[in-house]
Amino acid sequence: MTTKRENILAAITTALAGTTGVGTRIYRSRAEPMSRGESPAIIIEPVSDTPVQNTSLPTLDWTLRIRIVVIERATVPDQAADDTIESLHAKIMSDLTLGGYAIDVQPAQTSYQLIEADQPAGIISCEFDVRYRTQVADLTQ
Amino acid sequence: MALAFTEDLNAFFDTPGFTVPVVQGSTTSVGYFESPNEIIADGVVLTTDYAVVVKTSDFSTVSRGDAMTVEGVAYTVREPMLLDDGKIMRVMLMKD
Repeated sequence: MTTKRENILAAITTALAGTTGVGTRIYRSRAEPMSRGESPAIIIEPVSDTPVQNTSLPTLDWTLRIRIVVIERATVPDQAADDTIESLHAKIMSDLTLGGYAIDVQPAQTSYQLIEADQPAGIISCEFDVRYRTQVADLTQ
Repeated sequence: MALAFTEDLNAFFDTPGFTVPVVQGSTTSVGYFESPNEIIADGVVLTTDYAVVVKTSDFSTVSRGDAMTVEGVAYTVREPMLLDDGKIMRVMLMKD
């Protein structure tokens, strides 16, 4: 069985298909560095997952922080990435259940890193909190 | 006793086969071109550190944003960085 966490991450990856500007360059938890020719691109990765037990029922309410990283190479990278950021935000927020696995999705923060390179690089991290519920003893339910 | 000698940077830059033509504005000279790959931004971005080492006296006015052609390829200057005593410099480049 697959955990709800993994199902949510897969649903996000699916939801981001067709994001403006990145074509098929949508990666899940990519660890390898991104070359200039591979930009712009987006990477989906988990940041943390925190449980709390809110009720007397045998359930856990989780807050999964996910990060969608936009990698852009341009003279003004954050400006060039704007269309991609607008597009991915709309796609993530269009179904707040992420195919029925989540209770809610909330934008958490967007941070910017601008780096000198052979062409200026921008790494824009869009973080979201995904709330979902599992059984105490079973992360798949 | 002080050792006196006359520095001749031309000898350092007169190495056919190693130096390449460098053009910036109306200045034409030669330099040593470098293009190592580097991983930056905590492993996220793979870049190429284009640079050319030239005599400072040949390119004393070069500054960020200037166009520079190295071996026939167009680049834009990121920043000139003086080396050692400042008589030679490494010009960091962006590829257009």
